[in-house]
Amino acid sequence: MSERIDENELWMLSLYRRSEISGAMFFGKLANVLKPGPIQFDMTRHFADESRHAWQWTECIVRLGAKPLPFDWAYQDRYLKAVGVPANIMEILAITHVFERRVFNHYTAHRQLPLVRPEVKETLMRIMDDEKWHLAWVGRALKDMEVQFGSDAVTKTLRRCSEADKDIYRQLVNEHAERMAAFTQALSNRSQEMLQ
Amino acid sequence: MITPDVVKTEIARILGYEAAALESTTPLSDLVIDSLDLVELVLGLEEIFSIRLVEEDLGGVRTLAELTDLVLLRDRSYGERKLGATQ
Repeated sequence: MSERIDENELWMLSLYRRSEISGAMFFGKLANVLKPGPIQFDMTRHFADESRHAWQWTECIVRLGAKPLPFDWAYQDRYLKAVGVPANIMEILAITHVFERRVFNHYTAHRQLPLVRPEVKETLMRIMDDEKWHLAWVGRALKDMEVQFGSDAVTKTLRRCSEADKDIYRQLVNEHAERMAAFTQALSNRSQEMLQ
Repeated sequence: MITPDVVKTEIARILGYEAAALESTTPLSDLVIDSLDLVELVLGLEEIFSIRLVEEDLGGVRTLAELTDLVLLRDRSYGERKLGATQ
């Protein structure tokens, strides 16, 4: 096991865990009301992946000798507030695509930080493999929906969600700037200690 | 055949209520805990009744009766039946 986990790193991993739980609940509810077909099939797998990711973060935190911190909010909660309640499956998938891209980019940036603990790196790698598939299936489904909704409508919805996502991410970083800076600093300190 | 009662029953089923316990004037905000429930409700109604809602549709919907009306409005067969009955 690595050395004791820093408070800010625990906060970050617990937030990942909470977001995966929220994702699982979201896709679980949708998979429950969708008619049988390719979207129900893929969304049910997506739901299973998100549940497993929540478990993988829980396991990772425990392996690091800590306990997950409780959260009463998740990153994606802010999406529905910002873009409004999606009115149809195309809008749901557009929000999902933008969110999954954000998750993938954020996990990639985390993985590339210096001296990420092996337990965390391993969890990130395992989850990111699934995230690639999430982006692929949702992207493919959105492409197929251009026939029904029109390519302009799909493009416009994706653009609207992307704009909202940029604001939400900026807001999150601003709100938790101190904690995020401390988290990055803790990783940097660890690398300095290893050089001494 | 889609009727207001059928829509109300499906809304109750998706949200886990007894249909008889729901009043048409009940605000939707009293029935759904969070926006996640609302997404589930909207998608559930679209799937059950094979209708498509657009973003603007949901803006003015506040009560159970308004949501029921919206579903009936988007269900073309109901609209045609209603039109036929008035002619």
